[in-house]
Amino acid sequence: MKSRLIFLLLGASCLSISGGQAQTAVSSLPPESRQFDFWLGNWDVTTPDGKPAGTSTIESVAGRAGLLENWRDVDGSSGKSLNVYNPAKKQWQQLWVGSNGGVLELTGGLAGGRMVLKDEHDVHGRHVTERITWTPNADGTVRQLWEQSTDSGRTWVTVFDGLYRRRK
Amino acid sequence: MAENRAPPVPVEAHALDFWLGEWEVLLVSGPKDGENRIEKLPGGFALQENWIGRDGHEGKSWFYFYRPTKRWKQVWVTDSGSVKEKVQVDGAPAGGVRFRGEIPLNDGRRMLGQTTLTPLPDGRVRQVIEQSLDGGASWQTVYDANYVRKKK
Repeated sequence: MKSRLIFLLLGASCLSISGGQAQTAVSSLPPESRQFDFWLGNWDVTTPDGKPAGTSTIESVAGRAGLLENWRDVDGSSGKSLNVYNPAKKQWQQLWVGSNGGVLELTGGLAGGRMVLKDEHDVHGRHVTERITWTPNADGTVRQLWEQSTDSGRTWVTVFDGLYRRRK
Repeated sequence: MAENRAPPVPVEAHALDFWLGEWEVLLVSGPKDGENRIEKLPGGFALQENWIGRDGHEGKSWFYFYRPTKRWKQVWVTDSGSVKEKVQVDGAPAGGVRFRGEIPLNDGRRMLGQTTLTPLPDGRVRQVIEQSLDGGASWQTVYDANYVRKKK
């Protein structure tokens, strides 16, 4: 056990020095990397009135360090996101790229059992805050609520409200 | 996530197209280090790197063209849990692209990492990764490899 611990420590120090792509360290993901696992899987997504919104596959990547979202909207557009817990910044990050070229750089973390990620940026001179909340429900579904605020978070407008159901 | 019609892709968003494809990655010192597959993401503004090292370790990174700054950015995720972020900087050899970012060290020191991807005349791509502990005054090469297209 002791030798294994030393090996782990050596691995961690190799990692921080090399920094390149040829890394030989022992895998040691932080426990936080598991916080978003409730979103993994194949999903059908519906709007609050029950209409299909799209389908999504959330897969585990890079040895379970990250999650890759593969979204297909019923309108024919699509998008992907890369989600990862950044131990140096102690936060979750999501990078979303839509087929329309839109990019969101969201950061945040688990709060009260929900994953809450935000991005702030300017659109045509207006400051916009985006907030996306993923809530794991008791019945196994996941609610994804995407909201926007243009008054620094005082009021929010819903952009998207989707319910994820596991595909049979 | 309803979206509007896609705007035209600006010319700078093609700066990494030379890197698309399936590659064997050979260290300039000789041995094969791993394999990489570079694919475009929806919309054509971003690339996904799918790295599998000879040692079995996996990494994924996204390179994406960020319209507000008209610069590329990179997020690199490995199975060790480390996350590295870099942004495009000037200074790459002709036709190439260079990224630079801060790499957090456990002891609190600030290290800069720099990746340069350059297309070679023979179709290969060279990737050089350098590090600096003095704010970029001096650089040490920590990775130097050539990408050779996999035979179909």
